[in-house]
Amino acid sequence: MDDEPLALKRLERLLQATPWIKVIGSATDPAAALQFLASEQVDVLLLDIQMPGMNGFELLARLSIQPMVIFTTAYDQYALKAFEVNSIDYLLKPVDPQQLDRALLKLARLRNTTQAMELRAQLQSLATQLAAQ
Amino acid sequence: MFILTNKCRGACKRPSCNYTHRNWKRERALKLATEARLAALEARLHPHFLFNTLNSISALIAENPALAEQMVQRLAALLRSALDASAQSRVPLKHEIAFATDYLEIERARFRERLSYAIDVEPGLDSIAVPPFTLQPIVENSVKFAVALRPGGGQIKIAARRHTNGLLIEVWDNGPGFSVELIPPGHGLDNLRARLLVLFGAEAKLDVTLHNGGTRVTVYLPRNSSPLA
Repeated sequence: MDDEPLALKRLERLLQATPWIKVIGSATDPAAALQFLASEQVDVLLLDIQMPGMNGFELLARLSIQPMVIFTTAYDQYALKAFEVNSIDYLLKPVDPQQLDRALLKLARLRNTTQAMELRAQLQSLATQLAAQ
Repeated sequence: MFILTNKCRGACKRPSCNYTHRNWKRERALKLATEARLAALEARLHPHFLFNTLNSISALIAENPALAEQMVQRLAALLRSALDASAQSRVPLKHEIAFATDYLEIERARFRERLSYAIDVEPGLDSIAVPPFTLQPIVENSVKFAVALRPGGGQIKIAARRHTNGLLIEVWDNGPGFSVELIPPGHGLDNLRARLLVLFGAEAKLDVTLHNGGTRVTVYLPRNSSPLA
């Protein structure tokens, strides 16, 4: 999500370099992004902060399910505030491809950890069930 | 230390105006001109403008290399003008128009269809002399309030024409509008108003009016302000 079409295109181009990433939607209008996110579940949201009508934090505040977020912004005045939400990373524009890789790697690790934790929880509940029988 | 009264603000032509007052006026004109140049430079180095412009250029290098090159040229021209204008007390109108064009083209690459603009200069006015950064603070204000802050964007129309004994520069936009009394101290438009007052006194004017479903900022400059013409 970025209000500048060129910024969005560049991000999409950079993301193409990572085969396990699939861009399922993009928007230049925060209201359109909200609508999309209300019906689609995303693993990660790349989000600009300063946008007309609604800034990135306001957009997140309106979502019932909080996605993982990678912020992309021209200016680092919001870095601290970014810690208050589900942010994985905070990238400064123009986004450096290596920094984007770093952010995506963090996402992958986080997802693996989450999946492992979920699996462990399932195993534990199965074990509890078996022990009860 | 001078004790100054309001009586001598602006273009003082009173015979009683003594050296101290004239001296003060010259110093004030210089200070305001320096502030305007600094503001123009600051606006170019403002992180949102600079880094978003660099980001646009990064995107265009792959998308449209010719446009990327043009953007670099325009950004260089803007930075150069902001750095160069120091010693000049007047610039030809065409410089102001070129500056505004470079700026608006950069913003148009960023905002795409959210920004549309038109410039209409009456023939024969290219070399008429105007104070530097007369047009820029008005145009930047329009881009900020009519375009950048509004999801649907906005339109900007710039016009320059002869008017009775002087020059009329108009910037119209379809943004939410503002009133001249509410311009905060230190704002680019506040500096412009103060510069016009100290350079031309009551002969120059900065007006904000509602016009054609939008806001129109008008600058009127007297003819004798135009030694280049």
